Amino acid sequence: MSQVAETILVRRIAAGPEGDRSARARFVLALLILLLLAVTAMSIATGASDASVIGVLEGWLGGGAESALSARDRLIINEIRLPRIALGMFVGAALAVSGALMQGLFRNPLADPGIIGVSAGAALGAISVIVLGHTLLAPAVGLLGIYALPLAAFVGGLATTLILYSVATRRGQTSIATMLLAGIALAALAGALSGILIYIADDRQLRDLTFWQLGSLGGATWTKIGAAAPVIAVALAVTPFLARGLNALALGEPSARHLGVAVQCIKALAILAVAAATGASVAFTGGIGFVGIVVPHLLRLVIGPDHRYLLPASALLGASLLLIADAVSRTIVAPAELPIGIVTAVFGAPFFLWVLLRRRGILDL
Amino acid sequence: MIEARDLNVSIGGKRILSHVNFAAEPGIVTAIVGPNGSGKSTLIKTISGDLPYGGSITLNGQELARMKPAEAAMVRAVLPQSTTLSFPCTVREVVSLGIMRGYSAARDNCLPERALEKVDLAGFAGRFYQELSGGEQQRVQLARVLCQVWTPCLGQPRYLLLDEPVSSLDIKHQLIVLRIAREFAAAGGGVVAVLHDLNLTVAFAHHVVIMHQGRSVAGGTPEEVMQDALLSEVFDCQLKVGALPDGPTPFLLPQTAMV
Repeated sequence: MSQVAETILVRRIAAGPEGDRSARARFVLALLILLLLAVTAMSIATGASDASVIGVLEGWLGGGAESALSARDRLIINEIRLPRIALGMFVGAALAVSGALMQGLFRNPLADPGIIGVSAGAALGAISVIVLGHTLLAPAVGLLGIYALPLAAFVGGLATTLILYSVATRRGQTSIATMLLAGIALAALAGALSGILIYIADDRQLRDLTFWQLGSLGGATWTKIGAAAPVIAVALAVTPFLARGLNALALGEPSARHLGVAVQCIKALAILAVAAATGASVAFTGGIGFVGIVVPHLLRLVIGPDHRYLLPASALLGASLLLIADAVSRTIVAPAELPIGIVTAVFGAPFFLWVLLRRRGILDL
Repeated sequence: MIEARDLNVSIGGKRILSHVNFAAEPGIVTAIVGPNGSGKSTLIKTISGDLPYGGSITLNGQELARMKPAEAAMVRAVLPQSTTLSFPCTVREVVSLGIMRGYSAARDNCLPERALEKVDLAGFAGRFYQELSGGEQQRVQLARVLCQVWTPCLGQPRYLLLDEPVSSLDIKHQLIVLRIAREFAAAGGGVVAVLHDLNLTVAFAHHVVIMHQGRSVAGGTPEEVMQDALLSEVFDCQLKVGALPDGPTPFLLPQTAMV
């Protein structure tokens, strides 16, 4: 059924030459923008409370006296829902684009920041602050306040990436195979160190840790977004300059160089962008899995692997999917809240398996 | 002209090329032949800029080591022995990578189709690269490489570096591919090709360089290098060069060879 629909879609929309999926990709990009707008509107309108968007809009437009009820609604929407939506968008886009960048860089459709240890390093940083925040790291935490946790995660992610890069790079050449293997080793090491910290944690810290690891967009504030958004925005802003280089990298590094791509420069920029985007995301929202692997994968099936379209499409779909997952997480057990990491994994993992099974023929390279 | 002087290349501490001098003129097809492990592929890879080297390599007078990837890509395109892709791409998407920087003089939208037609793959644009046979994939890559240097001469001569371009092809497509190389040279470009088949080498190359144990041991026209003693020593078996009655074209029958 879906294949028939897909064929019709191709015939209708791919008006360009045979084998050229760029017309189709542009159409999908337009659809994704509409999807994100729709999802955003839906997210503003729904939540645990019955705050009315219409009432708030009327309050804005009317400009006059505001009832006590619409003042409360306005507070809920402006200070709870909107920051949460903004954080969800940035994090969803960051996770999906990080996945797409890593997959292009490692020439492997299953690569993910989780695999090369960036997420594990970021998690180690965050766990250190949660467990040692009142003892060993108390001076630093006292100084940084609420920024201590995100900063530690960011530093952890970046440090892992830099160690990885220096291990895998010799005389200006980065070996992708060495980097993957070193990433697995570093992820294991960061996991073990996190394990030690969890082992010495007290009961209250354990509860904090567990919820942070499960991931959540809860507790988003404009202050937090002020810290996360610029980092993620810079990382996303770099990606258009990497697209053509990543396309050529699909042929392998020597062929990409023969085509005129400054391979080392592309690799360094992509790694830094991934470290920044992943670090900031893990710091503010904890462990939200599967977005980085499912989103680019799905899009590649529909629009092909051209990074000029894949990267912006990943950002849009990643943002939309995370908002949908968040809407599920805060309504399914309302007024309580299910950690969003559980939602993305429960829907993401089986969906990913289904996609793998359905398209196995083309995926076997 | 591509010129290598006193080229020394080591991989993992082992000397692969020693004191190789090599030149490829524009306007002709230069073939590199030699037994397995003689350094043919290393030589073409070094000229392509894939390996660190001692000595000097110049591309139209510019030292290769000091050229940016984008500058080198203007002047030469490289066909590797085989290419696996990490993602499912259509044939058109692969071929289009050759024109990604707009280095080709012709920037028309039909260039991939024209390149595919040239390599006898007309109508393959919409197929998935991964679904093609090895020989078809090799020709798709050739189409991509042709797109990169579509105009053989753009202010200065441009070059095709082909590493075993016909090794996985049937005889018809071997002839088609080598004819493309001849046409490229005739239009003012230069072609360097690593070849295994000595008879095809004689039929299509203007200049032949013979590699043996990491050294360039002979160079000249096909007629000059197709000598019993030289070939027998280099390939380490008794070879007898024959000649057609109606011309000077030498040939080699494997049936007459002795190990």
